[in-house]
Amino acid sequence: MKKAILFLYLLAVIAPFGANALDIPDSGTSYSYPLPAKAGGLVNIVYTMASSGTVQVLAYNESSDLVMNFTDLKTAGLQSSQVDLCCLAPGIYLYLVMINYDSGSKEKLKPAKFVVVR
Amino acid sequence: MFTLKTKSTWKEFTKSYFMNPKPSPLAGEGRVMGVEKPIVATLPPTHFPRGRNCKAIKSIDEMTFKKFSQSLAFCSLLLAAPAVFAATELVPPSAQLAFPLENQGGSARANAMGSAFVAVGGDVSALSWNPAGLASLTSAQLALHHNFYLQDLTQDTLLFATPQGDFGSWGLSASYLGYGSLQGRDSNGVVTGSYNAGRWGGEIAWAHVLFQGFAIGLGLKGNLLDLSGADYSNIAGDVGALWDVTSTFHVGASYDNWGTDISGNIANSVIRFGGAYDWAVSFNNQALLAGSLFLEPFGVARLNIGAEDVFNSFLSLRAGYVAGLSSTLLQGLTGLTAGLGLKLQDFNLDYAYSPFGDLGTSQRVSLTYHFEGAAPKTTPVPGSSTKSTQTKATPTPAKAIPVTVYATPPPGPTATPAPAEPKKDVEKLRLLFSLPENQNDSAGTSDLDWDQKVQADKDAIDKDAKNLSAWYELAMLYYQKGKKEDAIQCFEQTLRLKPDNEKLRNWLKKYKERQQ
Repeated sequence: MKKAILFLYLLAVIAPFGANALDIPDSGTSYSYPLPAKAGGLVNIVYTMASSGTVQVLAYNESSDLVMNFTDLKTAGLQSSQVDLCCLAPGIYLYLVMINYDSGSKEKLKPAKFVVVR
Repeated sequence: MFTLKTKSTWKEFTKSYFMNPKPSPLAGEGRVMGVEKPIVATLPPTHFPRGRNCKAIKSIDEMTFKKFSQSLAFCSLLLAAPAVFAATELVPPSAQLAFPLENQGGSARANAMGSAFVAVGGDVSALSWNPAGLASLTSAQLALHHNFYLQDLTQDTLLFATPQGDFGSWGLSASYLGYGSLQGRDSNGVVTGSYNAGRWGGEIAWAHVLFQGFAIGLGLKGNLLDLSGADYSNIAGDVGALWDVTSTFHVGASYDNWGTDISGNIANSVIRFGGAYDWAVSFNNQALLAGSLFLEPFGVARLNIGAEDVFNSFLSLRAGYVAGLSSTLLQGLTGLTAGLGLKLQDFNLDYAYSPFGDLGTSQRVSLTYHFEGAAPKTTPVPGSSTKSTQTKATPTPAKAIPVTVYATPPPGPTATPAPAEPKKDVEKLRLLFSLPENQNDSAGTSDLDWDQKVQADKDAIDKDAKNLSAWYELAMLYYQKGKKEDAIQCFEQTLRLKPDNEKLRNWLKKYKERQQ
């Protein structure tokens, strides 16, 4: 019984994450996946943190109107923030990643873009 | 306006449940150790400190079944709703609107003026802001706009518009918004290759003068968006009106991009209304001030203001400001716009610069060709006189004096002097043509009688046959005295010296038609 539960646990908790092989983004940059992303699904913004801090992801539509404001708390290292695309219309979106480290320093990553399809 | 989806409680959560969360073994490798690509890292589960999960697995043998069950339930909870504990996400309603860039016309002139263009007509780019503005065209125009936009996006628009007399003015446009080359990645983040994406658009528009000083315009457009093989399309309409309150003050309103849904999302339509005021600052200096309000149903609101100053019918300087009434959280310079324009023969070359803070900049270039010849209008276009001169991207510089130039003014009084025109008509003409009063050789003659004024102007012309203000003043004097033929000759000469004065050109044309 315990083994069965352990198996289910491993299946439920570990398997979905698997061993994602992700590129480390160049310094000062980030990238997202999947591309294109499905509206109603999630897009992952990948970046590296020098130390722990708060990450703010701002997404804009083509005409620079703010469509999403996402904040996340992350530790040092390669990190990813999942952004719920919920009701975004098909199109291209630009995003900014701004990091406020607990040490007080700030970092802005180069803006990038992601595509949303239905 | 914003919808709060989740609340950020992750920090407190981790502190209370995991006293010593271990960072990922790979944490910080890319930055701290200076290791660059192509290192491949195993990313810890999103929002889950890797150490916590490992600790839970290692200790499973030591746990009682009850504790393990609790842990399993707890982990399942985290698995099911990680975002609940992880982050705050704010989504404004405008996120659901499709094709937002349809509301940003490609004209460099309009964008340099802060996009406050809804009440400015007589320019082919009015097709992008208020189709009613096409009614003020006095000749056909062909324009190509290119926009070096944010993040390697490019926007190209080709426009053509022509006045067709009683059939109104017609305009056509074709546009392409290029998203550039995009890198594809699958759901595991693995690069899958690059792909292109972009949006095609086309529009046909019509504008007509309903009555004196009031014009309407209609547009029908189609858009096709291609995103990595997924196509989305819609049909939309534009409607607008332009009213010349006075010869120098105009108001306009439009409702653009009112169309069909795009895959369940509403097209990003916009309501604009505003005004424009133009006047002659000095002999070789014309100015335009414009403002408008930009309201997107379910979207954002902006206040646009802009100004243009045309020097010597050759160089135009422009500036504007776009005040976003909705926060963008962008840092850096935003909202300000600036640009300049040059008039080269029948071509206008315009440039506009618009910063968007951290997102980058937009730089637009426009090339507009003005076809020769006035429009074959049989229906007077009231107020278009002022507008048409003002709204050309940059007025035409005075061309080389043609051989038909008069060396001397027309002869003096004709045999039978006609009764003098009421002075208010002369003043009306002066206002209509937007030419300043005589400011040089014949200036200061207001106290002289009519003959002396005429003689002063003739003397000025004898000294300089290209003395525009003397020709103009002389025409006014003849017109005031009822010497229409002489006045017309002088007006024609004035037009030769200043061929961009569409108001004068139209007035002369209509005057001659009436005489026939």
